[in-house]
Amino acid sequence: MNCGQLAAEVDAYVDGDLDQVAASACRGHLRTCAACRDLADRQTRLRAALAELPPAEPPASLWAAIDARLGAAEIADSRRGALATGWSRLVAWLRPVAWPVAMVGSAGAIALVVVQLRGATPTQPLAVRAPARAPAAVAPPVQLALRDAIDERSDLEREADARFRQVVSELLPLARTEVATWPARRAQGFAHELERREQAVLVASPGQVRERAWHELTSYLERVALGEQVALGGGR
Amino acid sequence: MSALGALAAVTLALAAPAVAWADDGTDGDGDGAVIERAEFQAGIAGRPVGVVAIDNSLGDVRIEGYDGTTVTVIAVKHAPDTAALRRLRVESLANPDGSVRLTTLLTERAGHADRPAVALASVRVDLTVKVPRAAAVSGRVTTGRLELANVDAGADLDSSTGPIVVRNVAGVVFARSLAGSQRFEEVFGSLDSHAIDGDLAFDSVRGAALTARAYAGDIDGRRVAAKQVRLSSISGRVDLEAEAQPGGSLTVTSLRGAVDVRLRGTVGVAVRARAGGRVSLAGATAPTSADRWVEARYGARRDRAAVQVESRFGDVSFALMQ
Repeated sequence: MNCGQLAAEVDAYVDGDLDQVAASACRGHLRTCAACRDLADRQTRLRAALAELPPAEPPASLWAAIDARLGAAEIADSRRGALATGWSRLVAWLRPVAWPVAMVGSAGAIALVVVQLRGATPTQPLAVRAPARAPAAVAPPVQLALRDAIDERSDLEREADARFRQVVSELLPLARTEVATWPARRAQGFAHELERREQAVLVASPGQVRERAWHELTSYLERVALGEQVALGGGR
Repeated sequence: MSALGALAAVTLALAAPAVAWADDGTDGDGDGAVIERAEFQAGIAGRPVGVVAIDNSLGDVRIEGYDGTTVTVIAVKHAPDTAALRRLRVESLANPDGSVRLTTLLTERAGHADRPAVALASVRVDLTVKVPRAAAVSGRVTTGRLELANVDAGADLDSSTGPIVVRNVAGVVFARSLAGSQRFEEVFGSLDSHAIDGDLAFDSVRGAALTARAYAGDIDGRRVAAKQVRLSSISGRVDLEAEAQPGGSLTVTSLRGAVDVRLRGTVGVAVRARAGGRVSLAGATAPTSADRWVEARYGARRDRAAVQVESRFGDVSFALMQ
């Protein structure tokens, strides 16, 4: 697998929609390619952020518009002549029957073509890539992308929080490895300082104040992780 | 209401009508968007402006110092239609203590929930703010670009994902960004910069101290001449070309990235280096202890600058430039 193929498959890979062979090929490529790993990481993060979004509520104006169009269609029905009404009834009666009939006919035609093309017995199974997931029995509800700018701004703040949280979770093991080499009293000072800075993040209001608190926390952890002689209780 | 509060409120009320100068056409690109441009003065007449704080989460901010005494704001609003345009506001609040605060707002659809939603990408407010050169400045953007130029009293700058660009600034400067890059040119004063995913670039920084930290971004310094320099990145590379200062200290570190330091100047230098990868340090002693530090000394002993370069998993190199 090369980078182009990975890029084409990355969405399905992150969603878990690939079969085992294709997923294994993706994993193999990701082990050796930092750029594609970064791409896959970004896609994963994006999905995590999206998963936190609340479902969009369609505005009242949309339902009003749909209701108005339904009403207009019903009024139009009431004004049709007898011939038009009869034709519509016939179509409505045939609709449930027409699909199964058409499906059976199509399947028969396809089977005939396949047998002729392969020149083999129809009992021999075809090599088809099985889908990793069974198709959903019921179509998912339509999610309307009608979020207002104010909601989108809140989303951005949540995404920023999520990225800072991720960085902290990556830095903490590095910092703790370093702190393990410190004398007990200094290590205790680290624990207190960490708690103080985490608390500052928790109580900060969203926006600038919280982002500054996150910077204070991450910057401190970076310094500890890099083995700097961190002064306890102060400094960035 | 106190006398000070009353004065601030009056100033706000006066500033708002000044924003009523609007272009009533489209922006000419055929997308049907409407724009409005407004220019107004912020501040209290006769009182010097000491601090200017600008918070724009809806677009770009450009702050320019000049030799005047008042704060002039040019606000350009973009929206898909006039209803959305009316939701964009620029608020100016001037206080008797000489501080001026500018904030952009996107008002709620309160009482008009049936109105169509507005996509964040379709609205923006860009601010150009001319401030007295001696005013201390603080600026914040989220996705927009934050530019600062020609001020003498330092600045405090924040961005979430937009870039920060600073040019010709004196005084102490703080800058922080999550994913936005940061670029500094001709900074004369101490500089403290921190980014998570953004790259940091410095050109012609002269002051008591330069501190720059990046988590995943690279750091690139050119023509740096600060007494205390501390650059570090966790995952990025650090590249520095600096002038050694007498008695100065310079610490350049990356956990996973490569570190490359080139020094010029006439003062002596004592260097120690350590790397998980390859160490390139001319005339270095062999590592003498288990901690793998290697050392080298160049030039006169007096007022030597102390240099430490380290990468735990990458390569490091140090060179003196003529």
